[in-house]
Amino acid sequence: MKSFSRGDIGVALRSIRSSRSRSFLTIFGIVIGVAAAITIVSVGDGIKNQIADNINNVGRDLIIVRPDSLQPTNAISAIVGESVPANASLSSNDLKIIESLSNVQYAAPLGILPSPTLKVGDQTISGLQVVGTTNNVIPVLNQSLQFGDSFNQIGINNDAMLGQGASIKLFGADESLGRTFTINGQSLFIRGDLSSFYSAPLSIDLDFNNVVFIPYSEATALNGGKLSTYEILVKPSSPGAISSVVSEIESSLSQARGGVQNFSVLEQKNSLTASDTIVSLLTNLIAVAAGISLFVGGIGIMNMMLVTVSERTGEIGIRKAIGATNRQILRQFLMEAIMLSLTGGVFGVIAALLVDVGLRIFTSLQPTTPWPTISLAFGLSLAIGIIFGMIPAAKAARKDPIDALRHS
Amino acid sequence: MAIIEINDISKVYGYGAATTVALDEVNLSIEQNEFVAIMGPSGSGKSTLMNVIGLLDRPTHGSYKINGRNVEKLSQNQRAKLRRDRIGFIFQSFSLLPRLTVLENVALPLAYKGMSTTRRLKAASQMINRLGLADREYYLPRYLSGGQMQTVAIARALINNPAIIIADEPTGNLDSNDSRLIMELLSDIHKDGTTILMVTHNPELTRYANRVVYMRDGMIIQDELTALGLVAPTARKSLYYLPHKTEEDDLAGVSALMKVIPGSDSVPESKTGRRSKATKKTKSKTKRSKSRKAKS
Repeated sequence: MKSFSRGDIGVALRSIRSSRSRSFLTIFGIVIGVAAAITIVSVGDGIKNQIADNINNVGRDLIIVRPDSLQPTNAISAIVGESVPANASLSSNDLKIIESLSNVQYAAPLGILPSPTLKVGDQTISGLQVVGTTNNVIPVLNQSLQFGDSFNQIGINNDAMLGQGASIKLFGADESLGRTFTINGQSLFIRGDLSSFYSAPLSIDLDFNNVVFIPYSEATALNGGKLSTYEILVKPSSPGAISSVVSEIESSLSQARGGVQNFSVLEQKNSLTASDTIVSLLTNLIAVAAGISLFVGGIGIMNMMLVTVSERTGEIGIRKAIGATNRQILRQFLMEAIMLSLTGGVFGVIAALLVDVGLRIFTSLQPTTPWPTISLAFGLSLAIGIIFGMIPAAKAARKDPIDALRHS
Repeated sequence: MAIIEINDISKVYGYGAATTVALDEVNLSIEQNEFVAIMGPSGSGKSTLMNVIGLLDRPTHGSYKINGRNVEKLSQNQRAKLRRDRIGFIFQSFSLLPRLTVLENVALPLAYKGMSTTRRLKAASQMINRLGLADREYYLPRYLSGGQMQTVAIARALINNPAIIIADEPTGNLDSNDSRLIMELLSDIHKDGTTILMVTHNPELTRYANRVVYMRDGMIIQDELTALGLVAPTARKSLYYLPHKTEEDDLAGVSALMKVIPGSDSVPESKTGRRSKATKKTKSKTKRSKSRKAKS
């Protein structure tokens, strides 16, 4: 039996080679399905890892306070610059309360200026966020200044710090100390350029590389005296104090709001969970689409095998006449279907690896393709071959030898 | 004990008004090492009889024994295995698998027996060598002549050392030279002790047989022994008729051979009478006595 299977493989490969264009088109369907499935899973895993690395960069002890109506999914809307609802805001009083807690080392508010107009000379620059904050944003985010200094908070308010991407967009270089630009007509002076932030795709936080940081008071003034704070970032005095700080913030803010708990206090691990949830949801949705394409590829295999069985009816008759049992005929044609799908699986894996390399080179994505994913892809393509090859193989096995011989 | 024993075998197709009686209570007994030629016009039931004997088809009624063992009720897989082990087929159209080499074609029956690749290719190579085609082992069938292809088909039929060879017009697609070569080969196989059943339209080929069975309308109407090397006595008469076949004969589908078979005129023309006989399993004393008379 074992040796007969080797013969079946040889016959199957020869059959595939004999109708090259048809086999190619059939295999191509499987290649697309397998490559898409692996790529989606790899990109999803890569994004999760990037987000985890991002969180590690800013520090796992970071605590994020958000208004309740600004859930992680809403945060994306806030991040892309849509206006934050007025009731979705923390207040300066909240900031004061948090800063007064004993185990809090730093606290920094983040308030996004809605729809700012940034100009350098007469040229309007788009694609940047303007965030009102305090100097504490630098230690809270575990960041450092590449050039210059943090802005003054007392007295002169028209300072700004730029993320690296913002500096390049505004002035064409990552160093822009002393230069000026305007926000909504107000002239501002570059006091410091921040080092590059580690950014993760699909992160629910801002990409700080493309942010212009201005003093909170300046941002408030530019927004007509009222600025919504969508986040307060808090750094506890020690990593061991995270839980107690979280509890203190929750009870203090709740007390200040008369017992109303219309805010969320998130540890980084919650943020990670939230990000993972979003990424997993997106990954699974797109993987379903990839699964559908794999299913269609399987239909292609079944179609090709049905045509093959029909064309080789005479051959089936001859094989049965010289002693092949139904089981042996079924195995032969099933092997052909499996070889088609496994070939598609192999090339699908290669295609996925090439796409991964391309994504790493041309985008900020860092897909990961572990061996279990590749093994699963092979397993899937084998299953596709068996499932969709069974019907044509059974049809071949059931053929009457005399009727089949008439076709030879 | 006869190697093949058929008793009252009938094969009926269709139902009701669309019934066709392909075999009508045929009785046939073939001994070991006989070379039996089966002759008859188109539609006489020769191929159906070969299909039943070759276990490709099941009879509707009757019993069939191979070496004393009843085989008419075997399952499809059981028949396949028996076919693989005991029967070799040779077809008019050679029926080689076009994508396999000569070696692989010949080795194929051994593959279905579960033999290892090395052993079966070795056995196939020895068989091909024995039949004189050693230099064509790795050729695909499309690069062979008709005679070579039929030789390969014979090698494939012999590879499992079958007790019975069934040849359905083995020289039908060959020229006279190749036909002679193939018949000589079959004759050698017969001399080695194999039983051969051969369907043919050519009376000349009865020279190689030691028994000739004539069929018409699903029945055996003549069964005669013949000497090797000579055309069978009844078939010999048709040799003089062949150039004189008329247009009327063509239209009637009657071969010149049928004009000379004694008693063929007494066979009823209508199928209705025979259909009812086959389906009701009644026996015809007339036909039985004719068959026995012919054999004696």
